[in-house]
Amino acid sequence: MTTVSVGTLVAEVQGDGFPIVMMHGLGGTSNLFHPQLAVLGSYRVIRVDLPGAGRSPRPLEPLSMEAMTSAVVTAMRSLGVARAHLVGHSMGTIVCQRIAADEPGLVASLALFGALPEPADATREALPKRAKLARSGGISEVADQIVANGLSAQTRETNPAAVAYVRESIMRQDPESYAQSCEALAKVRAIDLRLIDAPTLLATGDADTVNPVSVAQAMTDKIKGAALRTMDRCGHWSTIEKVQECNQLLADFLRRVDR
Amino acid sequence: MRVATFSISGERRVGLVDLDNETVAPFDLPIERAASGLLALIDRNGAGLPGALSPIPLSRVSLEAPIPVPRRNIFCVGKNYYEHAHEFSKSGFDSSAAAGAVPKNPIIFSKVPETVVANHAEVIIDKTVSTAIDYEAELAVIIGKSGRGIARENAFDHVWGYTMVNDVTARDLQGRYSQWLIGKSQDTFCPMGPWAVTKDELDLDNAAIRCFVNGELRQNSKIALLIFDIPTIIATLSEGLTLYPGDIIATGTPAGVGIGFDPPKYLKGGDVVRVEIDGIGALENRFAERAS
Repeated sequence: MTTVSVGTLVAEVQGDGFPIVMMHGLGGTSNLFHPQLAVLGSYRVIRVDLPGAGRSPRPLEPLSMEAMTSAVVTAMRSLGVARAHLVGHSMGTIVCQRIAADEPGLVASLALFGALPEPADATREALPKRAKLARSGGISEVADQIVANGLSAQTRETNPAAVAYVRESIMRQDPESYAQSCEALAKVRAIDLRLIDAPTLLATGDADTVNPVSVAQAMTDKIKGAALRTMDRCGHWSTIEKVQECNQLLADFLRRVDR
Repeated sequence: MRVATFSISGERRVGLVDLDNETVAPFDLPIERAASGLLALIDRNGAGLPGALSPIPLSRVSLEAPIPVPRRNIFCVGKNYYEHAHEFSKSGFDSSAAAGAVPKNPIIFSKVPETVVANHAEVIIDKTVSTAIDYEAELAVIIGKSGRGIARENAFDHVWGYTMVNDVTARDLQGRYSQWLIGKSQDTFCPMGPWAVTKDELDLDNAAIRCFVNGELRQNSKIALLIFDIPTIIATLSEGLTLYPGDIIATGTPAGVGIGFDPPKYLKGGDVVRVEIDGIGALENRFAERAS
């Protein structure tokens, strides 16, 4: 595994083969997809820290979904990636959707975990409050709220390492960058999903209350040929909560689109 | 509000145009609804606008006529600017000239819906049918609410907004037949667009209307100089004929059409005609001769 700095992003790059680019969500880092490496041995896996997240610096301009998208596209080009499978989680799926609609030639397929097209109205209103809390020294409180709401009951009861990972991932973010990411997400308007013509998998936990199955179902109805899979007793942080299920779905999907 | 009908990836959409950013934000409409273009919005009957999706650069889309196939013929008003009424009645093609240059009541004719083509689409000149093809820049009214017996003072309640048309005309056919329909309804003879605007976007008292042929200014007037204004046209038409949402009324053309010149300046293959109205935009179409 190599840590590279490419343009404004830091990314983990591992392996050789057809490229896969993985984009975490709000409060995540490249580590969110660490468990998936187990089934991606035959690919060149590029896991980015989105602008302002993890080790990627916060740009001078306030964060926006457009800037995140163009940072990833620029990074792909700098790494010589002409075409890749894109994998996203939560807010990262919005980046995936935008690249697929704007630069269809770059995208071989989309695998979207806990996907959303845009925040629901209630979330749009809640995100600025969360930004304020993060800025005022309360990012660990934010982390506690995410753990309480974002993980399934089963995960919270039986998988303390997953709980700890999610809490750590959020509380160790740069508070200002996290706040700006919240604000950027609050401004997102859905793209026209019918512009996506790459093969698409949506995978959502049946206990995901952040971006529930109904949201993924509505997206599946709009994306040509998209397939929706749900995971039992899985909350929003599926790649961490349900490693076996996610890996199986991802491996099966990639096998099908690579054929 | 500026609403365009457009296609991207072979599918039709309706969206909000943002001229500052050169983008169009598609409305979140099912494909089968968006297929009717602007009608998909007009038909919502006060249900409000659907949500708009993330904007797409205008450079990525192909504009279509705001209402690609109107449900009914396009209503048109003849001789509705004074100077044009005089130039046309002197041209020898005016089958209504005997009644005087300036009509006492609006002259209403129509074009069939299939004449409509988009901004930048080619208008076809078929020389085996007509060699006297002329342009007519016009403001078109789009009806938003149905009505019969609409009073002048209520007319604007029934208006959704406006677009532009080039009421292309085969003058020889217009003169040969006392009804103008054939000369006005040749295939591709109704360029419309480039988009539609809601009625609040247009300043009827001050907006200018212009037409250029190959960059040369030919028509230049003001919408306020209409002989029969929009309320009069709507009241006249709707007296015993119900107007429906999505109906289109082309309000007439000012002086400066091809037959206003001596000798007449007819259009030929390769000519580019550009219609402009302040507050709407520009509608530009190239004319091409039909390969025989």
